[in-house]
Amino acid sequence: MASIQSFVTRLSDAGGPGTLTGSLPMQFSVASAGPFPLAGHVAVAGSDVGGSLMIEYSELEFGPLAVAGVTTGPDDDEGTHEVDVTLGAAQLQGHYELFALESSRVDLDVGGAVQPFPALEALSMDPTGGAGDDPTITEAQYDQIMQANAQKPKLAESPAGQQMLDSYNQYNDAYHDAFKSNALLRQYWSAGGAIAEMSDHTSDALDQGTVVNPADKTFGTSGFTYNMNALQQKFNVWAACVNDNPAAAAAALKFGTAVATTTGNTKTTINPMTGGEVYATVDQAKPAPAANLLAAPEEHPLHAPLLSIVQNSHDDRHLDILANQGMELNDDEVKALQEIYAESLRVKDPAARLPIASGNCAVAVGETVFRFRLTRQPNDTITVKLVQSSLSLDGLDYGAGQWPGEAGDVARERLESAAFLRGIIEDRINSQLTRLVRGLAAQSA
Amino acid sequence: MSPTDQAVLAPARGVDAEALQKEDMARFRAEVESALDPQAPYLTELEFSMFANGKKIRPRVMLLAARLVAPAGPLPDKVYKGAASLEMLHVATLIHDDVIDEAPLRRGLPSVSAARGTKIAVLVGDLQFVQALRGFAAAVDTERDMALVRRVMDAAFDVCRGELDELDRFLPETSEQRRERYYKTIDRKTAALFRLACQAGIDLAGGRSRDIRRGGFFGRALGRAFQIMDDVRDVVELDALAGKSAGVDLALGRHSLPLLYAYDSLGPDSPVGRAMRGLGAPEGADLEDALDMLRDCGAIDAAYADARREAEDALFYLEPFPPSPFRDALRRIAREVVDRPLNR
Repeated sequence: MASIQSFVTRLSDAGGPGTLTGSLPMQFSVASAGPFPLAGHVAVAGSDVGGSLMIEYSELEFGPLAVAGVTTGPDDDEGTHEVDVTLGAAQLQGHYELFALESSRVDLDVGGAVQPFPALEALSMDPTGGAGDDPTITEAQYDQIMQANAQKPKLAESPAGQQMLDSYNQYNDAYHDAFKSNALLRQYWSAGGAIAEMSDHTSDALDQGTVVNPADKTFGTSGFTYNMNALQQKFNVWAACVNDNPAAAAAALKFGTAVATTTGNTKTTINPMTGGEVYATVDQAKPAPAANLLAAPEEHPLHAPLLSIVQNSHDDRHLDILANQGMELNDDEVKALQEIYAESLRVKDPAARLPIASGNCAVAVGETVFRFRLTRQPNDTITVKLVQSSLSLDGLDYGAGQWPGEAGDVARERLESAAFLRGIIEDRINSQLTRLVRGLAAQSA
Repeated sequence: MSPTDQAVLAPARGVDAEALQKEDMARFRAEVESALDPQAPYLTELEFSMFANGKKIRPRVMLLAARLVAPAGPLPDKVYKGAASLEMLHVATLIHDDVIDEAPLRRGLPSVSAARGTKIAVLVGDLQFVQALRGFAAAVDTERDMALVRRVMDAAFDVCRGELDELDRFLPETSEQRRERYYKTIDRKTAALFRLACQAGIDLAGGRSRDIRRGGFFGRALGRAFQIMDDVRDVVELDALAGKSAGVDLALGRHSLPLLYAYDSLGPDSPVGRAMRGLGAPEGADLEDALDMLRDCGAIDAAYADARREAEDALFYLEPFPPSPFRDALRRIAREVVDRPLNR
């Protein structure tokens, strides 16, 4: 049966079995740490798309290890005792790799209006921008904001409108996740600028009471009508969601077919309507029966033909089913759906690793104090708990001056403030010493 | 033009952002005091101290989110009332959490359940919950704001569902499904209030739908990072600094993210796996050994990497907002969640 005091005495002995000095290895080793993300996206030389910035450590060693002192406090009333173990000056050194995991930059406001970032900048209320002008938004922009804000309450005034909003809210995250992860969905969404033009047009039409979906106007460089693009984009969203979230995919389809049913609008049949007429139609429409809302996604009549199309196992019959509903697909649209679907599967694959820099990292640390609480248990064993450590790897040096480009700049800035990341490595070293002391306590029992 | 309209249109140049933030927090605290008044006969110093202490990160985030779209002048009263209600909602969850966990302490003080018994704690928690909802309902003053009340109800519902999800020890078959379930749980349990904070702040300050939506995703990412860091710190933070014993999640068999990663690499029959399956949680030296296994198998690193990824996501959602000291402050909060030093 060992008393805490006798264990501490042995711990502080100069050497030999059961002593700390006699048990310390040459160094503590951490085989690997990370990889840890440093930034969401950076440009990388030699890559068209860049990727998310990461750092990974390997072969980290902390040493030489030498006991510089063991000091103890008195036993307290509850059989616990604190002991400070001081290790002499040492160095952490190891290897790092700075790299990017290849991924496209997200250049759409996927969390907001799903518009390209430059379009947003035009609406920005930059309080630091302008050459001495007051950084206010314009009256026109303000009107646009107020007008957009007024739309949802209008929709919510009718059961069918509220049902549409509920459906949108229910799958808000799923649609966001699809846009965030699927570069092809984003690409087809913003291709030719049609969506951005449609957004501006919708705003003007609501403001002036004119037609939202004109038959005689096209949008974007590809010359889409409002109906064509709106409904095709719903199919695109379906293709992006169907693998991960079939219910969200089905909701996008249902919305498209509900529009066709209630307003008579399809991709090719244009029934021009003003905002007021749209609201009146929604107002008079009956909400979908509960059974429709609960139906399995694959029960939607367009699900099977669309799935065949995105999996490239379709024939003319599948295209005819769509065409009969006024949803004709041309070859380019089929290709888009197939690419978006394929991308939704591909995003789960490991991303390519784009090297940016690698080398050695090191930091010298002075004497380090580790405070342990020793507690004698009812069965006379001694438990050891680390309660404080002065180990600090602040100043870990990577020779970062040579890191190239934007990635290098961002990595330097992020690592400078990444105290917790260094803390993870400190924790590994702390835990190795703790295990050693715990082992000695077990031996002494 | 209403105060909201003025706030939206007002110029931000020359605004002392720091002074505004202090004033916003002072007005928030005043609203909390006023919301506590009707409950005063039922509360003790303990509950009042819960409102007085703490970092107030949710109301801070809500007020800063409001400032993203209304960078100058006083915010509408309803924003401060909303922030007070949000904090009340949070305190309600803390009181109920301590009942569920049978926690003796909360922030170094006795928990309400320990000090006043479970029955009173449940009811005092309920009181906060209901008062929070009443506060939001009383704060709205336009038809459009009514949508916010619905959002608050949804968030409160989500928090309750998340708490129940967490108690369910069901482990899906694949690691992907297990993590999917984890995110669903924390989105409800933790991220829902952060999301609500941002959406409500922007909404009540007169922001656009797109800003409200984007703010919500910022809140979701921030809330996720916050919860994952809580999970990680549970393993690596020293007791004295954490104010609780390390490894509580493992001892309770909670399906925290580091434990889920450890389950993948150590397997269902490891001490970690057994604890997660409800087959006996490690104690004493066995608990310390199990925590070391978590370190060695890479589970901490993997979870911390996920937290950093969420924090980076949060920064992404801030980008489309106009540059301002308030946006910078939100950026700092997101970075601080994952960069705050360990064990200092």
